[in-house]
Amino acid sequence: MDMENLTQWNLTFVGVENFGFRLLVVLGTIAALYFSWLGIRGIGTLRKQLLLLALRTVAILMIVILLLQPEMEQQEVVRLKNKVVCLLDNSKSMTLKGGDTGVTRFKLVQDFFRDNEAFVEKLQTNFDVDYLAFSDIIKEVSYNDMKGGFTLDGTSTDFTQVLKLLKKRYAGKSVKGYLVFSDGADTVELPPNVNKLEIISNLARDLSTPFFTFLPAGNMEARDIAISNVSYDSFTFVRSPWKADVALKVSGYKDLRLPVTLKQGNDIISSKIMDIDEGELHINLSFTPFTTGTFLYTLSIPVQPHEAITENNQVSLLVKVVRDKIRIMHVCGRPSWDERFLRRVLKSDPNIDLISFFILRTPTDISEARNEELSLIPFPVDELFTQALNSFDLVIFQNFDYRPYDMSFFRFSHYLNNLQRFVTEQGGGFLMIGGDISFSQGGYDGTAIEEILPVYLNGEKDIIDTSQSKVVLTNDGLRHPVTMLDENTDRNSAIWKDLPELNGCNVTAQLKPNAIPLATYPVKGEPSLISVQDVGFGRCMAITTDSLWRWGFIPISNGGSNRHYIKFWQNTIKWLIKDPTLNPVRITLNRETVLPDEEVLIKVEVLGRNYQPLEGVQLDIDIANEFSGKSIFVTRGTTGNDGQYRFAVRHTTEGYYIVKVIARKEDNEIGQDYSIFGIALENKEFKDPSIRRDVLTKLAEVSDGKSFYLPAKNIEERLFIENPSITKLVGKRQISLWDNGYIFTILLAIVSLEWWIRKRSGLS
Amino acid sequence: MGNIINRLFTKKFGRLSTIFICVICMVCSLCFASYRVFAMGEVSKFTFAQLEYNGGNWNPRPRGGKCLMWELIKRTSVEARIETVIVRAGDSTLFEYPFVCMSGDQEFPPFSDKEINNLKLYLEFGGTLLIDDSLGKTDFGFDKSVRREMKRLFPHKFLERLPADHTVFKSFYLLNQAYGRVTEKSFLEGITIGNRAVIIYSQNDLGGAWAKDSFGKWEYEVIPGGEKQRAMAFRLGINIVMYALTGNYKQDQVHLPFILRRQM
Repeated sequence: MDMENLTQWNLTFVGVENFGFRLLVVLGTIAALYFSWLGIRGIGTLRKQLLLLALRTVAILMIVILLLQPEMEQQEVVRLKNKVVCLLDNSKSMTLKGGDTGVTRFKLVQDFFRDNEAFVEKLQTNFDVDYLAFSDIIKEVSYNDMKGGFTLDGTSTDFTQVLKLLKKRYAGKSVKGYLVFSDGADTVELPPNVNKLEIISNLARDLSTPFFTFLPAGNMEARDIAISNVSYDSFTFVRSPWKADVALKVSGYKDLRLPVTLKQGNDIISSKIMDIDEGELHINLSFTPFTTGTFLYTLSIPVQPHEAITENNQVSLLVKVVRDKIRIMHVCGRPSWDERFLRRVLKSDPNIDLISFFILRTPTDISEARNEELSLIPFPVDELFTQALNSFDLVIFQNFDYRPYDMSFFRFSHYLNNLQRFVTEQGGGFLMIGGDISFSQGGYDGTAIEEILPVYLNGEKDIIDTSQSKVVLTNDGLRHPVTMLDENTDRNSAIWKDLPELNGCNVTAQLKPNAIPLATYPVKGEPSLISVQDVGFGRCMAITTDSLWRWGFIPISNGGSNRHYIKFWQNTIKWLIKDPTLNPVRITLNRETVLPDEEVLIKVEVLGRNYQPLEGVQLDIDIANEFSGKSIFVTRGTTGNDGQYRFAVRHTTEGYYIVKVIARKEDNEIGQDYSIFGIALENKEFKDPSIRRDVLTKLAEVSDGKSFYLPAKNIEERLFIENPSITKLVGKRQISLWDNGYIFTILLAIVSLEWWIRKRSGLS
Repeated sequence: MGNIINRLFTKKFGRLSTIFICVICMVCSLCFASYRVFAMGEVSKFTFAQLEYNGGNWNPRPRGGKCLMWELIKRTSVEARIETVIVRAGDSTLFEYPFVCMSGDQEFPPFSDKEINNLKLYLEFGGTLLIDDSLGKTDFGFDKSVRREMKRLFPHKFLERLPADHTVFKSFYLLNQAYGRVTEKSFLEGITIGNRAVIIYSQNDLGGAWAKDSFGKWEYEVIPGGEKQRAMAFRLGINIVMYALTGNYKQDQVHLPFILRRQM
């Protein structure tokens, strides 16, 4: 700290501090001298008179000194220098080059110190100058650091935080000016109802010190097209539109037409062309996910020539697609007990959103009432099988004949094609339940529906077998999630044997090659009763009877329950909608996004067909970069007796990584799963590269400071910082002028001398 | 979803709905007539089961159910057996028929405990019981016995009046009151479990209004409303069957705007 030492002396009277008493002492002294003179003037010679008067005066003065007790106070004082603080923005945005100048923002700051060396020298002579680098923290740097350059590594600029830190750091200190060298790009995101500029202004005002701000001039604006913000839900519901509001900041470009593209891997899932002009632009992108899981989407806009930042032209978004309610469309050709008991199960499940359409009257029925007297509604085929179709997870056709609705002006067969695409392309589920107007009897042979059904239809051969019989579970059915009514296969088999007889079945032609028969009907030809098939992205199932309701009702009469019937339907729906809980291999991550070199904990859980933890499963684990495909971690593991295998990975390179696990037992693949995590160091600095003149100008304005544009020369002619003198007492000492033996000795000597003279002169 | 479809209906189908239904019916009748209709066995069809019990007169209108089934087949898409079957409350065969009708015009002795327990399970797990008082006299004879047995079946529940907006009054036809051969009560009573009326009790002799003799003549005169009242009794019978088969389907959101508009 620069300072100048000074010594000051003060005389004080500690005996009588009150001014009135001091005056009284003076008056007493004068009176004593006067009365002494009256006594002395009668003495013979003038010489003796004067001698005695002198002695008496000295004696009285000595007494006065004793009364007043004078002391000398020596004070050690230092004169201090006022402070000036140079704040230098060291955030990454200071590395940006301005327009076509090729000069970085920080270079302008360095040039300022070079061009104004005399000013800086004078500043350092007259003031105590602190140099601080700031972003969202402050750290001390030196003038030499300043000239030599320091690392610009601040990943976020937070003026509010910096002003608070300054207040704390310089509390009680005489700071006469803050010189701020910055681009003003505060990156902190606050809620829309909070005025950041107002907060910064209030904090600056509170410091009661002028801010002199130095900001890059207009020609230093960076040319850039930045995806500055994306508002989106990080989780969404399958088959529901997902929307992203994309904010673009454009600086230095105009009259361009560029595509904004949303991709999943290399597949474009949404794109829009937009007119690019200077300023902030907004665009909405949307798409509908059709499968559940965690997905990485990339939003991008093409890089343009001379762009200052290319990194902000692309943003990755991690979105978790979850299931809301299971949406089921239940179309039934005629009311029946099978329909009633199925609907009862579906309606009682709070996770199911059921839309039912029952054909209560066929064209040949005579209702004997006017339409207004009926509660019937039109069957909204167009709405259901075009616009609304993709909002469903599962479509059930129960004993439904589509042909009455397949007319020249209303082609239902066209909607069957939609339904096929719904299953194969959109990953939906389709279930056809038998009856007298279902399968071939419903006219589906040769249609798009036959293509997705697990069974072939043959109108000539298909008949209805009405013999009562119990179903027979196949070997596949013993372990399939649909027909697994008990975890134990023996018990499961016993349950199926105990289920009541059915009233018959639609005898379809043979199964398709990829279909899995789960149960057959033990009549001639053993036709399939329950069969399933994966079709494209979706799943399809055929139940060729209309009497499954008996499983939910007949057992009650024998003291049983309807729980197996309910369980069967729960399993069926879960399988058809590809419920993730049915995947025997599951990966769980402790976090979805981590910082570089931060640990990610990964748990792999394998379940057997009975959905119990499976021990001793060999796991092939591969973690690879989402874009390059390059593996960063490959290992093998084996599940423990809890069916789990846990491990941790760390990696330093930013990016998104896919964890893929393939589970095998005795060389048979059990299943596989994948998950995604991201490694990212959040960098807000390049989101919006514009120079925020408003922030820096306001900072100067509210603090009675001034704003300057860089480059700036001869600044001493324009910048004045007050520099009042300030001193500080660093020590003091008192020297007593009366409390010593000399005073008393002199006083005694004078009094004795006077007494001796008087005696010698014959006076009393 | 319901909202979307409602909106679509309101906008697109509002006034055109009537024309739409008519056109569909006319065109489809031409197309559909050429197809053979199969039925997956008699047992898969809706069956009108008559409950037999000890004492009293358990089947005062033996042809009533059969006539209703004729009308049900003629008027709706439901496949039904013409012949009625007879079941007993204590038999396991009761569960083969999720809809059962109990009629009577006389007092009858209490059901056995086995019958009560079986009937209770039947109703709780999905069965529907229609009780038809052929005498139509409150607190007398059959009605007195019925109310006694209801207390045994569900001691903590009561026969309650089904409101005019109950699904049973709009499951096929739009009705605003109960009908039958007589008009003892303009409403139906019932016992509801969950959101389903498992017992529907009519005191207006529904079977009497439905019954025809073997020559096709109505067996009983309908009073006081005559043939119109009989027609409405058939409508109510069909609604009751539809309610048993479809439950609260007509309470689904997609139906409400239409039904409300037609009821205005």
